[in-house]
Amino acid sequence: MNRVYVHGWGAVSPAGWGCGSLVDALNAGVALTTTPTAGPNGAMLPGRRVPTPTPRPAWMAQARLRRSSLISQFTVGAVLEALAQAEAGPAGPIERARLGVVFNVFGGSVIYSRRFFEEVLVNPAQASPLLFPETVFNAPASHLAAVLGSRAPNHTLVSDQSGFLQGLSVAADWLADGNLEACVVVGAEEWDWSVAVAARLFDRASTLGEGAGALVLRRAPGPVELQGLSDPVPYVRATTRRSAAGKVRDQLQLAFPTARFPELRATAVLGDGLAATGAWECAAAVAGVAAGGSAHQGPSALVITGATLQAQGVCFARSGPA
Amino acid sequence: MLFPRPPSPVCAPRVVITGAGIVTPLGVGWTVNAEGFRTGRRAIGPVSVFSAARQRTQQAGEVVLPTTLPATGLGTRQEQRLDRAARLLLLAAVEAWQQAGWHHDDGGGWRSHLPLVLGTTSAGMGQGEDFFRRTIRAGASRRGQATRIGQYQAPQQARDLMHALDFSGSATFIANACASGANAVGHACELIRSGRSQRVLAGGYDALSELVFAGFDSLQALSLTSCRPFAAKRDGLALGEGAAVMTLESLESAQARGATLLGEIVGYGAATDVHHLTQPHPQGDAALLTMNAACRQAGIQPADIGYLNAHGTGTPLNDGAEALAINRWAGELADRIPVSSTKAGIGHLLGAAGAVETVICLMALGGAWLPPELELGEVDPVCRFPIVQAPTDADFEYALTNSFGFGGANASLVLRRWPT
Repeated sequence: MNRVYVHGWGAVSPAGWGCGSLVDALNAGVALTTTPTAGPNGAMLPGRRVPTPTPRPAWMAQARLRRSSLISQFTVGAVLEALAQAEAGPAGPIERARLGVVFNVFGGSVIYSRRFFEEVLVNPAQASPLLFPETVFNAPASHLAAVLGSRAPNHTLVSDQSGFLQGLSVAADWLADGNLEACVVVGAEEWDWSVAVAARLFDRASTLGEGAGALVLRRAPGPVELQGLSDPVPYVRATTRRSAAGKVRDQLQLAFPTARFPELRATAVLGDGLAATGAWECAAAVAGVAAGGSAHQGPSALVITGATLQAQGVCFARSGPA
Repeated sequence: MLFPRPPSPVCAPRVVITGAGIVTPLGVGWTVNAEGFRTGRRAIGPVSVFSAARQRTQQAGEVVLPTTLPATGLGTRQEQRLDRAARLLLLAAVEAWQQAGWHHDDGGGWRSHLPLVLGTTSAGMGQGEDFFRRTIRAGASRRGQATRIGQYQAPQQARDLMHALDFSGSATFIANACASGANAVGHACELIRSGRSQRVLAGGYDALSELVFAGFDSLQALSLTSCRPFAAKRDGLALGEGAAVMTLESLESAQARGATLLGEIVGYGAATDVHHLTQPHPQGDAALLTMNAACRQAGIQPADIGYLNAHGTGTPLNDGAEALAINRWAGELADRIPVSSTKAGIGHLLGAAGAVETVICLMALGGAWLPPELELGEVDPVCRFPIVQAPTDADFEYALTNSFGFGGANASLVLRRWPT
């Protein structure tokens, strides 16, 4: 069988640690306060930053995470929340040897990368060996696997805001192949002035956010079903972002005529979280579908329009009888 | 719709390679590389793409790029903007595309839905470095900065490749450190085996960059002498750059259009080593898992492997762990399985390594030879398997290639010679 269910969801965002604060912020629809941070040559750059967690979670004291980057901490935080929920449900605990990981980034570990390259420019012979390993794209996914004790396949995918949906597709395929019991899909990003400067070259009003969002997928029936993922529509030939988003929406409407398209406005409220944006929107949509209660009980569909590569869409629905 | 996917075929389609393009420090293209790997030529020399004067070593495997690129759908300005990594990728992709005959439009519509799966560790890092230097320089012009940021990003390289070869489809970039290329090829195989696609363009690429070079040097992982994987006196790796791209197809699709078959990918295994961020499990536990998984999918035993292309970086820790894993995997048959690491000749190509080494296995299978490591000296006594140390003719049916990366990303692929 080809059905895949969402059993857990988690988020770390400028609204706080936990999916509840993410959903509350999106429901309120009010842009969160920005924090100005000093950039190069005296420039002050706004960002929507993740608040320091209080109390500090015990897992942050683990040896693998002691020197890890913020993006790794956001990743682990979102996944542990999602996993706790997934394992508390009727499907029960997940065998770690059969728990896959798909990690999605756009910028990745940009703070350590910037710090390391600053040291290289001063004197490469004295650049810190502690920083470099954390600059690698898959370092957060590696830390996550170590925390989870997962030796199963673990992919880090580099894309844009739409990458989280690509991650869902990879995870769904892994589950369909039957080798895994469950898979966590996470999208994460951390704020750094180097990325903020770059983003402003394309949009002078850009304000970046940071954080992570995660879903736990299983084949066993769960509260929310992943009903469908559209084909991605890349921005090539004459396809613009706008036309790509339209094609994706058309695909979803054709396949799921009763789906509604909730206006989540994650970027406006939380800042552009790059790879985290798609993850936040999916986590919030899944939470909304699972909670039900609104007038609309049908599927919820999202179109995620990436900044650089492609648009893609997803549809979630509350599970019916298994 | 990408999901739900169509029901999996009762019998998974066989995955064949109909085109392969390769760019390494040995040169551009199949012919020069095949001859270089067959004879064990070394192409490690002084770094010129950035100043390595203040590093512990100044040696790496650098590609001499041609002054002009092959004619593609890219305009002159688009070509001029391409980053070094994108040029490596384009050269390899064009060779594979033409070898496969994919440049002939058969009207099948596949060009609008051709998945692209690539491995890379740093995409256009050189452009990112230039962007950063200009950003921190007071009073520097912002002219060209948006282009640098664009070219730094992997998605731009996918779009450029789609423009160049006139196709469209999902683009997946796997950044699993040094296993990226092997994971990309493996993932592409899964797309075909699951019945999702008939054709996939897959490979890996990475260019030398100052940040990454300094990073490996900071870890004291770079050799100060010469890179000698599995030598008793090995002292580190050499970095390199390059790309390899393959056109993968279902056997049915390839045969239906009368394509020439270069080989078959029959096994893929992936696992995660959680021992340490940068050090492998000392007994090679995850490496053993991937080799076993790849052979299991291929339906073969270690005794069937006629050549093993090792990850073999030349660092004391990697080669020791990999040697133990090979010993455990092969058991009593270890002394009958020839092993070498082609990184001795071209350096470690990081995100390109797994794809390049897949193509090397393809060359060796088709040409009936084993790639040697020359001037190795005394072999580490932990190796219970023979290291190929001289150009050797050998007729064999299966090759296995290993790729192990930072963060514990491990992957193995098994290739089968296509009978002529």
